[in-house]
Amino acid sequence: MAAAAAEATIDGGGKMIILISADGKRFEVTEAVASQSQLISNMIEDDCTENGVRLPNVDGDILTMVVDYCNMHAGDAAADGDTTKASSTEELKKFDAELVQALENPVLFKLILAANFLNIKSLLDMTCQRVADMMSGKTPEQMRETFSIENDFTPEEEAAIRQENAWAFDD
Amino acid sequence: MRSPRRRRGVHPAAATAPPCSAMASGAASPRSPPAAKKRAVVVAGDGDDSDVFDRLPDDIVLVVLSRLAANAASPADVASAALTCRRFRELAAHPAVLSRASAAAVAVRWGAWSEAAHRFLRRCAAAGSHHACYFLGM
Repeated sequence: MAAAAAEATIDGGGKMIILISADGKRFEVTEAVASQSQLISNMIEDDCTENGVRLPNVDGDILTMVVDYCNMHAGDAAADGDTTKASSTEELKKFDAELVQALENPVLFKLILAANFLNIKSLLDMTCQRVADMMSGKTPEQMRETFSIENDFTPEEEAAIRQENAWAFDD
Repeated sequence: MRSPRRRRGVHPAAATAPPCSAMASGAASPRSPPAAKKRAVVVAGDGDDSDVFDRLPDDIVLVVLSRLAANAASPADVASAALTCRRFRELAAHPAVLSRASAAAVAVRWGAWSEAAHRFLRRCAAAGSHHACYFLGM
């Protein structure tokens, strides 16, 4: 497998990098795609990606999503001044919306952690925004239910905080 | 700051259960009261029923809450988050969140003005929220 990784670096002109998930799945991506992760971009600069990049806290199914996202957004950063990008910007927006909208909570939160670890700012922004959107307009009870948050206030504390924040609620 | 993963106390009913019961696996014995059954699932931890926010470090929860504040349609959005649990209450009062408060998040309704509302606006203004400064006439 190590030989395959070494060969891959001279594949098709653009340098290739192998990403290895926690459960041992391997993903071959171009440097341009991988370097959207600031973590990997730094590793590329330091020349320590020849034997593949191990990502011990990112599962294969999450890394699949991250790689899809990075593949989709690779042209994005490279060809920014291009005026023909207009339609594909629309496509990207659609892709992004569909990527986060369909996710179950545990998967969405794992994706946030992966984006944070890999330091992919746009993906972190997008996933955090999704969680914020899910919270907005909800009552405290609905928020707890949506995210399985344990109410750790005593009834007295909760009543006091509710009183303090009474001005913020319509009723 | 608090550690994101809180250690949960064992429910009193769990302590009285037989030592070799199936509590840890989440399958309570048929005689266990419903409360103990529910608690057993929570103690078991990493199932899908656990608080997903427990996995996130404080700095990411701050990002989420500041985005909630930035897009809030009314002051109730931030106040509701602060009312869900202790961790959210602490983090929702962080300057990183208050500084991003939207115009709607600081729009105290006519008639709802109170000392608490005024304190909230002053904290937002001190954190750097222009909307709060404007609202306070600063």
